[in-house]
Amino acid sequence: MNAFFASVEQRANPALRGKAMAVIGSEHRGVVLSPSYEARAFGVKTGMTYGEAMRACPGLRLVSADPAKYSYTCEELIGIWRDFSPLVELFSIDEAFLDVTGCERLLGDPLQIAIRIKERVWNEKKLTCSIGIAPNKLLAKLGSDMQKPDGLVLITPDDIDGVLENLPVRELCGIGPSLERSLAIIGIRTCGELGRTPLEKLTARFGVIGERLRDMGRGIDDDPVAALETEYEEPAKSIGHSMTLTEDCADIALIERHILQLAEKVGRRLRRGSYHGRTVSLTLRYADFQTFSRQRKLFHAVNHGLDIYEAAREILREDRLAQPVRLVGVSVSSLERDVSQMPLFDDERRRMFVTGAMDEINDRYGDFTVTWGSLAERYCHGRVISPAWRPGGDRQY
Amino acid sequence: MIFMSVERNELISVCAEFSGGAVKPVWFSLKGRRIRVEEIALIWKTREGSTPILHFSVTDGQGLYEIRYNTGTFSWRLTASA
Repeated sequence: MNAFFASVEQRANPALRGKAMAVIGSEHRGVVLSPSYEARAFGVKTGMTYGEAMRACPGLRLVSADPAKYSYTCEELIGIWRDFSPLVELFSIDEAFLDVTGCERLLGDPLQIAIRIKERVWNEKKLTCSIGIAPNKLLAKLGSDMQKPDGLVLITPDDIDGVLENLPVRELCGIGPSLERSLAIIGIRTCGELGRTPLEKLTARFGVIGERLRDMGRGIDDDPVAALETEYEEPAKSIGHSMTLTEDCADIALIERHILQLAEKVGRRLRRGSYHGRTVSLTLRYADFQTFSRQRKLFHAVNHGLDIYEAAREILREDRLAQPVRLVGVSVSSLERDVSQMPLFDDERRRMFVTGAMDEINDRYGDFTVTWGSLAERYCHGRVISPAWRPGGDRQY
Repeated sequence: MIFMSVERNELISVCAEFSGGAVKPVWFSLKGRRIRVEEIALIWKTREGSTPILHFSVTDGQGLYEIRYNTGTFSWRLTASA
């Protein structure tokens, strides 16, 4: 999708249509998440601070991000895409891969299918998208990035060598600035050069990903389109939540309250997925973006918010804070599934029943309807898209 | 900085059409004034627990309003205006 968040906000507010505007993280802090194409014409880019964006475009209109709008619109788009193929892989909230192999007799060739998708997205949602058609995901993604907005690029097997020969390696999905610099050190700047580099040279420098890099340079990608449903079949390795605070915070009591809130959310997701975990991790990011994580191994696997909170709090108290904190994260790993047993002792049994009753109430009336008194004034964190978000509702664990 | 809307949370009376499984606000009262919905610019859904909430971004040709319908309590609220 093109400038997805900004385009949705322009749909939601007719006064913003055709205007230079940008969606930002929040009114208190954050950066430009999605500038409209009208704003991009003034040089406004994703990742700019407010100040930079306003200097580039003094009349810029700003809208705080409203993730509920974007996630619901994404769900509706998935509904459209699924009318063209059952194999839809969501790459991000505004990008998806469709495998239309075998759909030709029913829906026409891939070019016709792409045109019909673009028509439906426009007619039903008044949004534009750029589509890349290619033999694999790597090239399809490349094609979709080559023409924006409202683009349509077809890369046939015969085109691959010509397209890649002089293309800078950074244009390939998966090669970021750091990898680009590492490749440049050994004299590789274009995909053509990457594809011709001897495998031994790449594996000597990059290890196991050397072969993958050479394949990328040749436009080879065997990764299949994984339908959304298959994701739910894979067991989770860890479950966590984090929050960027409205203001940098050095108040330990307040940070502990945030940790309790996060631990409760993590506990709820663990219980929903019938998981217990033995390792609790605490992540803190200081005001200067220096980030560190510490973890604690527990004797018993846990899935109760209070147990997770106590372990995370102990980690917090091990050291003094070097600076005010801007982000707090709590996660649980070393997961085991379906291993719970009925507690032997009355106290534990009562806690299990109370927790079950609280979960039922919160499932019905919303998270934190019944919670700890200290979370009555919890941090409202509605302006982000949770990593647990999935079409049709949050991931069940 | 120019922010486009102000958050609000006011219970409002709404005249709406319920037809074919869809809800369409026609007008609503705000401080004794009747605001006629000229365009429903965007509709989206969220949940509060198990209760679906319908959100509407609507205009009367001059102002922009976000109103929400709680399908559990059958109540309408004005949540933002610009």
